[in-house]
Amino acid sequence: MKEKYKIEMGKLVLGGVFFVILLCYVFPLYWMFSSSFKTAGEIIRIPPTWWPHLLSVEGYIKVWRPIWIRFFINSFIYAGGSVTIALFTSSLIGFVIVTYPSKIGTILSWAAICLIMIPFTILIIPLYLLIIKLHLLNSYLGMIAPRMVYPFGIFFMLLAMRNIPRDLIDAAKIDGCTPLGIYWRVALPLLKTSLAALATLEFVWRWNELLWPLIVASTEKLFPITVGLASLIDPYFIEFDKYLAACVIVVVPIVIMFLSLQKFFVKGITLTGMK
Amino acid sequence: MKNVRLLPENKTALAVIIMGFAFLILFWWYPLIRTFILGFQLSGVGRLKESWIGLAHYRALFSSKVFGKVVLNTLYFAALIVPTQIVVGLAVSMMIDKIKSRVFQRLGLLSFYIPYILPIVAIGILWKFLYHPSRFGIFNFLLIEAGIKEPIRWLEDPQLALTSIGIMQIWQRVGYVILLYFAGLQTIPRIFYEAAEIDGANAWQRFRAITLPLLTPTTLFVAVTSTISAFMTFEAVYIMTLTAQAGRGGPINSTNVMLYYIYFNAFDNNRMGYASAAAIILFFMILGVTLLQFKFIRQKFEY
Repeated sequence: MKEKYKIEMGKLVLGGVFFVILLCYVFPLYWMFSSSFKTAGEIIRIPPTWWPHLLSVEGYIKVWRPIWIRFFINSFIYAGGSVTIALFTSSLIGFVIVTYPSKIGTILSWAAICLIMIPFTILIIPLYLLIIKLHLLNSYLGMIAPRMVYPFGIFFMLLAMRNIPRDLIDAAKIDGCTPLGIYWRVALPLLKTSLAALATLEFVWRWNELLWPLIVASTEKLFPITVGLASLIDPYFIEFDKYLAACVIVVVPIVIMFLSLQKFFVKGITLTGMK
Repeated sequence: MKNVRLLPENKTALAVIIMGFAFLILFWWYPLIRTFILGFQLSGVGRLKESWIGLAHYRALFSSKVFGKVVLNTLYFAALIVPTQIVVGLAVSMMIDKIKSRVFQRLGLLSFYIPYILPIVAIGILWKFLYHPSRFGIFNFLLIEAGIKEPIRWLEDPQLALTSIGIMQIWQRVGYVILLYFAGLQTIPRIFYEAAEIDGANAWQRFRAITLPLLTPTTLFVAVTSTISAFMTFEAVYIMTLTAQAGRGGPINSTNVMLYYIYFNAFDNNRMGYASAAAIILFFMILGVTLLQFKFIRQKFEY
């Protein structure tokens, strides 16, 4: 009897500890949200107030400019464009290499696999010089172009394609379906879930990226949201009410997107992680 | 010679493969090789022609005090955040695994995961506020309430600044590690634990003999990806260390890391060749650590 009580107590304590860890963990996000609704004076009050005593949208009014909508659209174009194109090219390449085996296809798969550990960012200097040479500096295409093919995506699609039953593709071949027809009608529907998972994950990474768009986009009209937010910081005149309001504006749409697509996220993480 | 009949379908396949090569060479292989070449050249935007200068950039890098500090900073940063992420990530994922209710389990995973999907730009601004050296910085407020005398100058103290950024990065990324370990834990059959329990193994022994070895693939993956991302830290430094007097990477270069150094030299100082040489060193650091970690973990967990 006593033994059982001890175990129950232990569990309760462990549960309590876990709950406290969780609260501490999400606290910074609460702090961002609640502080963004404080007045400029309340935000720097000592001692700090645990919630806004005077609910104010001052920060939001100060920071909001119509160009923020443009920033969002730009992020959408950059992230959406590069993910759509990259996943389309990688899945097509993976499909062709597996379905129509050839020597040159094998070479291509190795040319991609050798690169999967190399971070894109390490190549930015020659890529920047290349983008200048192609006259694509400060354009959407310049931001998206180097993202059009994605070695990890090719590798991922090669693995996924090998799991598709051969018979399905052979049957389609015998029925006289063209390669693009097989890709579109047979392979893509079968790859749908893993593609969706990879796409969501990639989309968020591109959406959150700073360095590459920062280098390529030089006019405000082309800034994605991350560059827009970074350009706000003025070291001479720090206004936390303004900055935190901007952070909330940036963060809320991502959280909403995440919560509505979380199924794909978890799948994407486990798929890419268990390679 | 074998005469291969080129069927229309093979033509399509060939076209796709050629497209694949074109993109891969133009945007990946060519830049990779060009980085190596630029490392031996004097180059910058606006220069008419690159000129060869041999190993001069590498000599300059290795004799530069700042660059030495940059390399050490980068290594310290990885040494700080990678093991911490692994230990914390594994511990928390095991706690979440113990939760009976599916709903709470999911809620736990999601709460830890949310910071990972947010842009570091926003997270960095938020943490700059949390770390504020004045008492309205919530960390200092709480610490002073808890009894310390002087507020901690998280981002202003050169001894501490990089560690502060590391803490922020651990907070942001650990949810990803938790999720990976959680997924790994689901693949371990419960029967192993039951058998061990019957044999009289205690919780620690079960952890050492079952959980840890069976999670080796996850640990390996986490170690490699976290080290690479630690080496590629840029955003946090760019956002959090900006001061009006000294620009970024400070105080006194204490938060200057490889990728920021490369960015600064290439795009602020237009020293493309010099920055490329630094990028090549970063490339070999990534390659080296990846190979080392594979070897280390394989040796340690070979049964």
